[in-house]
Amino acid sequence: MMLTCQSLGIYNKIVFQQRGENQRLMSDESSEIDRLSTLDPQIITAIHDQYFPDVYRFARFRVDDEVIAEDIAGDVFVCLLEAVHSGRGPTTNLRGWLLKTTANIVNDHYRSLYKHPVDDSSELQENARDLFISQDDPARITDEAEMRRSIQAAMETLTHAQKLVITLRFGNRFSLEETAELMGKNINTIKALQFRALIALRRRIGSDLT
Amino acid sequence: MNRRLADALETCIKSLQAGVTLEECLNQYPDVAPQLRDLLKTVEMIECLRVEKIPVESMTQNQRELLSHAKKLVSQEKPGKCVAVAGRILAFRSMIVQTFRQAKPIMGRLVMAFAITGILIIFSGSLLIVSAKSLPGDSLYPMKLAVENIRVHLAPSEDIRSEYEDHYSQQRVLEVQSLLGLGRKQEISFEGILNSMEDTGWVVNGITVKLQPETVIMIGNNAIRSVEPGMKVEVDGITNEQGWVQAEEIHLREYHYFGIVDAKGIDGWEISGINVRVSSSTHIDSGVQVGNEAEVVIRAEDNGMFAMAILSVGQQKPGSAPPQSSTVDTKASEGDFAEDSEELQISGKVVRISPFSWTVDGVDVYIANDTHIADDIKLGDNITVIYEVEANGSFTALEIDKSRLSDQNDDTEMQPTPEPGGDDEGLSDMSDHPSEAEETEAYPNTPDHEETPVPTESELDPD
Repeated sequence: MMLTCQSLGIYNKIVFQQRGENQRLMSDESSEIDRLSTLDPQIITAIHDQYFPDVYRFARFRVDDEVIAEDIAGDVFVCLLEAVHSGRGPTTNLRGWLLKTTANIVNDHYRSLYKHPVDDSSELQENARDLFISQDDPARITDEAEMRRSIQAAMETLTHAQKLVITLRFGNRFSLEETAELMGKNINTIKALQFRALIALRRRIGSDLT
Repeated sequence: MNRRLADALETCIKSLQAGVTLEECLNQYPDVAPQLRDLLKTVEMIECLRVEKIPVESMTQNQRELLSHAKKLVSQEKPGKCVAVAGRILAFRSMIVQTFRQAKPIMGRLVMAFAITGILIIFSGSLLIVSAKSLPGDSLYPMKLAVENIRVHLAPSEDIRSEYEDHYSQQRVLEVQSLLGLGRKQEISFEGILNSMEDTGWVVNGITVKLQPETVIMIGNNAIRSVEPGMKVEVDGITNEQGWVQAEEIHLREYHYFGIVDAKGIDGWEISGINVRVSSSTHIDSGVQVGNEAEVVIRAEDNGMFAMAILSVGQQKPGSAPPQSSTVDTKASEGDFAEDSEELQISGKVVRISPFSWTVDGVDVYIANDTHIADDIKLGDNITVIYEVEANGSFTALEIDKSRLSDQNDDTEMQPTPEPGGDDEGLSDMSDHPSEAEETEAYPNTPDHEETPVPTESELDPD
């Protein structure tokens, strides 16, 4: 636990540095990837602690279930190890690779949900549990849960690129420049994608939730 | 996209994330405030989904599982050489893709698309060129056959399709000859004219084919009693180091037979109880009616018999016989051979010379042991062939000589022998034909040969 908290502190420090020193971190990432290929436990731990928060926040933003988001984050790192072991891992942009893999696993999750719809009783139980353990107003908790579900349902109607931009910008709080770099697009494209995505979301959820 | 609104939106998002209130943001852009308000409210709603808190317990648990998974991977065998090479190729590919994307996304993709297309074209072109030289048993041989099949299927007309099929059929023969030359043991299949049937083996298109006790001969037509020289057969077998083919199956492919027309239909006829398929490409003599005797030229496939031609027996001419002479008269018995055989002559350009047969302007003439062939004949020469029609419909050359008509007339002539007349004696001195005594000695099996006419005086000297 101690180690993890310390790692989180290191992560925050690194994030701060990233915002200012992209170039230096690019080379840091390359050396991380090189060292990761040895599957050294120390490197794995460092990479996991550094990137887990980004991956988890991405997954949690898109999935309205804490446990599923944790599972998805875990799967992303397993995928990373297997890809590196088989020689198909990332070569330059480790963060970008991890977040794209997260997006793919989230999409797979929704695809499997469409194929095999889950009974709403599990969600109801989760709400009931929250109501039971929380000291907040039960009506407010229910409303918030309902609103989250509505926004996430609206998010799923966006295009893949729009979903990615919205998640990176508002789920992970990446800047326009960082989002452009992670997605391999230029800043104006990201700005346009964000603008269109917000208009689409507004059209879908605006009138219900204002 | 409204650029001003989009820029204002981006600035306001940054301000909101820095803790500025919505109203303060809107005050900066009064001209687009209403639209901006809607969008920023949407942003506020979306931001509700964001979680700040990271589940530390879950993270620790995940980390533990990850390390245990890494240990498993390390203990596993290292990936094989192929996997490692494939991994390096994929890594190289992703590196290039990443480089292009970072440099200029659109240009990078375009260049990549062109590069991949170019590589594919060069690669597939090289493969096609290399596969064209492959032999049965080579890894690229199936590709060669596939390309040939595609060309046959895509042929713009029936004539061209049939040309392709003939060409590829000859290719199979050349491949078998190459395999025999290399002494390779390989399963093969080829079609060709049966040149001879000796006890030691058959000769099909010049290739020695030896039959084993277990060799299956498929005739598939009750009207045909046996396979005879001149017929076209398909040989399935194995080449060997000794330079011959060990036959496993022999299928009769092209031949002809005589029969009475029992019934006529659009897609098929019944001739002497045998159903044959007809199509628009089948040549049918106009006079053939139900009850008439007809000669049927058959192409036998695995899915049935296809009539290449149905000829009225009374109208048959030597020139109308199929070019490969792969016909057999099943009614002609050994006894009436001498009576039926007749001597004819053909003049034209020799386009193929082989030990077993020559082709004179598309007509195959078989060479017998006693065929008299003049010296110095080479491909392209105009020659005159005196031949006889065998009982099976094929042509056997009796004498081949350089044509003295070549200067005056280059057209191929193939005509029935005129009735014997008194001109023979008068022209005998002008011809190169051997004397009667010599002819009788040279062609002991052809009693009628001395009646073979020579060109008339007017033909020799048109002026």
